[in-house]
Amino acid sequence: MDSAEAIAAGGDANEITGHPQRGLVWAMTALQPKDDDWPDVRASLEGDEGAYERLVARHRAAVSAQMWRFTRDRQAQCELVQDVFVEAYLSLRSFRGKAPFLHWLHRIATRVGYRYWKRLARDARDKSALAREFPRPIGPPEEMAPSEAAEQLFRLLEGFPPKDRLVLTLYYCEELTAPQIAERMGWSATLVRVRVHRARGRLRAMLREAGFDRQRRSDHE
Amino acid sequence: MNSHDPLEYVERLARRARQETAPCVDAPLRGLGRRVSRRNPIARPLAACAAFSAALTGVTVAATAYLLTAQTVDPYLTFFQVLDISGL
Repeated sequence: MDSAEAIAAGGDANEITGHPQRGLVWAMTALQPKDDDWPDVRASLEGDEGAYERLVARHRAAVSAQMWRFTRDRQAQCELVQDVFVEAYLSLRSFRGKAPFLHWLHRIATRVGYRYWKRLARDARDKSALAREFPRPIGPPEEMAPSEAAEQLFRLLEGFPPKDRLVLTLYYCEELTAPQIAERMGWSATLVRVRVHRARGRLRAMLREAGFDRQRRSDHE
Repeated sequence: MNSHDPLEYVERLARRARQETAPCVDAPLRGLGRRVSRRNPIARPLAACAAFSAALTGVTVAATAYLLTAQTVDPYLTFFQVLDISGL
């Protein structure tokens, strides 16, 4: 174990390094997060506006791609991306640097997207409209354009309640495991496993009803 | 996996969908200042001070108006006399 690890493990910095002042410097270096974004996060917290702009520029594409899974509308996507960066800015002090900044940003983005779906579901209930029609099979996915496949998948999951829709989207679109979904949402892994299982069961039933199992067979014929 | 499981279709769909290049939002970040000021810790005490100040002004104006219109007070009282009567 080197000095940095020993300090991080709770050892006395002065005893480990054998020098009071050097011990303090060692402790600060050892506990400093090793993230490329950390200097900009620090600068931003100290009031450097340009630093936060750099963070936004660096992660804009990743957040845009993530929010594109929550909406297929460009204007709504733009609003969601804005909300993510504003919320991240306001909670910047809570970023401890234990995980990369982008992971932290993804967690915020997932919650922003989830809230957006909850709002949509509430509005739909209030208007008591939106009897969504479940999509019909349109051919083998391999022959579709990627955007067409993404659109079809989005429509398949659109009618689900927000919690089910979220776990299915993270499971299929982002390929996250139950513990990863749980970590992102602050839910328990068991709860996520149960929810994924139930949501997949419901999806399976709906797909059968819409003739997607016949589609599977016809792909092979 | 069951070959007729419709969820297999969803998995293939998802695999294809992941190849999509999502549009990137390149609009500059806007409204940050406005939204931040809503949560600014100084904003609320300032608003409370302003409200208190407005209330104090209102009371002062009302008290002065009352004193000036009351029959017992000469409408041509000086400012210092008004202060003296109102106990300020």
